[in-house]
Amino acid sequence: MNEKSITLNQLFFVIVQAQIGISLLSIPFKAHKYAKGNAWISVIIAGLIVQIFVLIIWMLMKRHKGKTILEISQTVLGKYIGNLVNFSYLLYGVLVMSNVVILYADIIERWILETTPKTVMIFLIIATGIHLGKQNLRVIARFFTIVNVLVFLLFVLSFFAFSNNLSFTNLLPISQSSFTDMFKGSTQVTSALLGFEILLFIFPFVLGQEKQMLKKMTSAIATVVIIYLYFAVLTLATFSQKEIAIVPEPVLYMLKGLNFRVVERIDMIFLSYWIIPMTTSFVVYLYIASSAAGKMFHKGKRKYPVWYLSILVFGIAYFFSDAIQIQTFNHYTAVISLIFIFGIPLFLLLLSIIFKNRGIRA
Amino acid sequence: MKKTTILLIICLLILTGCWDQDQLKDTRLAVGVGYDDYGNGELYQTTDIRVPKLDSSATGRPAVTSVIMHSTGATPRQSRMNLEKEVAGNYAPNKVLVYILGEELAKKDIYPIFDVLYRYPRNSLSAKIVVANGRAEDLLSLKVVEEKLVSDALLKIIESAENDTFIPRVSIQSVCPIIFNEGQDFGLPKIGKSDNDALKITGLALFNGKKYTGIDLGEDEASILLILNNEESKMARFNLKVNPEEKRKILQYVTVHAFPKKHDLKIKLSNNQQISAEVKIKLKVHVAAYPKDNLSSKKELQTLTKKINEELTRKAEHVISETQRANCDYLGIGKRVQAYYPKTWAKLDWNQTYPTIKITPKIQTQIIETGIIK
Repeated sequence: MNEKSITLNQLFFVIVQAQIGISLLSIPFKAHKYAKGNAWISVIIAGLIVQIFVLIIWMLMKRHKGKTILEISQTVLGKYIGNLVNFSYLLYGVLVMSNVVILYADIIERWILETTPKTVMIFLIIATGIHLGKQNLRVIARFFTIVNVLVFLLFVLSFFAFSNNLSFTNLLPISQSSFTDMFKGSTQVTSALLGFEILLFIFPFVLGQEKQMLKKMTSAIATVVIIYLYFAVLTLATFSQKEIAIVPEPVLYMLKGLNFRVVERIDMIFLSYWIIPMTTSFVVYLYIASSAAGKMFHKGKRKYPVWYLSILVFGIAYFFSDAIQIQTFNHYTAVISLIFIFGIPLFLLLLSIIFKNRGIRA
Repeated sequence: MKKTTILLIICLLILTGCWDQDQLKDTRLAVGVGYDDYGNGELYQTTDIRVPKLDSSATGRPAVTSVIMHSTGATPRQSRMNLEKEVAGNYAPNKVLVYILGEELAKKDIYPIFDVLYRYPRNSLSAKIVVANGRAEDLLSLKVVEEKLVSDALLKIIESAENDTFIPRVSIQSVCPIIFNEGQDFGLPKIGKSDNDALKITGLALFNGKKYTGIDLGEDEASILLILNNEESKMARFNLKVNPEEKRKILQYVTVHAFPKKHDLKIKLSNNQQISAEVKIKLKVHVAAYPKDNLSSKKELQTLTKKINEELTRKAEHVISETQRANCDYLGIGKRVQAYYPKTWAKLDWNQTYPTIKITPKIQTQIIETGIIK
């Protein structure tokens, strides 16, 4: 085994960091499209949905102790189909990485560096990502643990937003959107909660009982949902209905309006350090993709795939420049991700139950 | 070691430049911007630009001065581009302290003027926004007021009035959610030239939706409105005519400092779908000046409290009737109806309804201090 083990607490922080990132900035906007002022309810629903996904993953991993999804797929489906599944995870990792990088470069270009070529930003992001991503799991987990201080800092900054005129009546009435709309909104939030699928790859390396791990996983999801809920409520109260519909990054916009005697443009300061949690999302998928590639082509070593996959991502990200393309790409990535966080794990779980873990051939 | 050295050299080579640098010495900072109607439908922009004085480099502390420039254009962005052709340096709007709208211009939809401010990230969203009594150009053309550059003076006046609860705390950012909200309207400070060629806040300009209604509240009235909307700063000051029977004018009045204690706005919907609202305010009051009498006994205090309550409530009723005349739902009753009675709201045309609903203000005070004498 090439990876070193991590502790339960590190598991918690890895999941939190994997989920929180660039999407935090736009949660209420996306959910608001469908759920209107009830976007906050969508966040809760999405949290419950994701909890179900996590439960499925946990049950699958519990049945196959000591194995990652890459090995499970081969046990259950046989070598060839198993490899096909593993390869699809590789592609998925590349897809999401590209998505993260594209969104990331786009947001920085629009908010801070207007004239800097995107290529440079993409390069810098990927270079930093490689630097962390090529390390073993323990190093990555330790770094993710430290990064959580920044989430705390975001909270501190957000307290200043209470000096705005907040009107919590924007959250009412509950009947302003139907349940279907709220559910549609929650599918949007689910894509912001992506990242927990790293569990499929790191589960065997965590030191602890399965039950303890389920508890940690659940509390990680709950933490993230509470953070999202807090920001959804805060931004909904800050902006009125029609305004939030035209502000794609409500959290940033809210910070931009704050003014202190010495400091202005808090959004820039915030965005400058929020780059780090955004990079962690990139690293998570780099880990996923390179593990899959390593398993298939390099006898489990991630050293080489980290490099060539990153170059591939650079190539993909290079071609996306206009806003509509980016939106479409982002949308399809979110849809496709459902297969990988829910579809395949459920399928494998059902097969393992039917064939009593032994796989189709046995 | 060798690897690190190579890496460092590469870093040195590729990380030297910066595409987005914006040096202060090359920029011309705009600090005050005024918009007026030009007549032919175009905008007339008056800009207060901060520049270092020519001969100031030798004195150590660089002195600055104001340059007032004019430009026109169909949109704010166009007039800015026209201005940029004239300015010696990069025009930078990111430190604008105050935006002034001419009275006539404000009577049309004001959102199109602000669109560019919301869209472009470098604009300062925390800039104040005011309506000029007359034309914005006239205010900025003062250039220097009380030995202060005009935009600075304007900002100081606005800030001190905000602290005294004469005007609401509004900025470009805080106005935006209200512009978009059908169930709430807003007001902007109105500023004019005083007789001493200084600047003066003349009241609160009431808006209906995105348009200035032409109706203003006086300073005293604006304070009451802010209190009704739970928007006061630390305190508000009132001069109240509590003893109209006195002959000498000075004896008719009491001056109080009011501190907020409780604010309550209730919406009721009667069986026949009539909306009514009740605003209940509780204030703590310090008596600052009461020339008529001393206030040593409990009974005198009670009588005075009662008179203050009546006077404040009477004023509040007047203020509310003014907002209804202007059709400016400043208290946001509409958004509460929307939140609590969504079905009724769906059927309503709020613009038609607001002037007709019944709003009852009730202000109760409690004298907690009379200064260092009784």
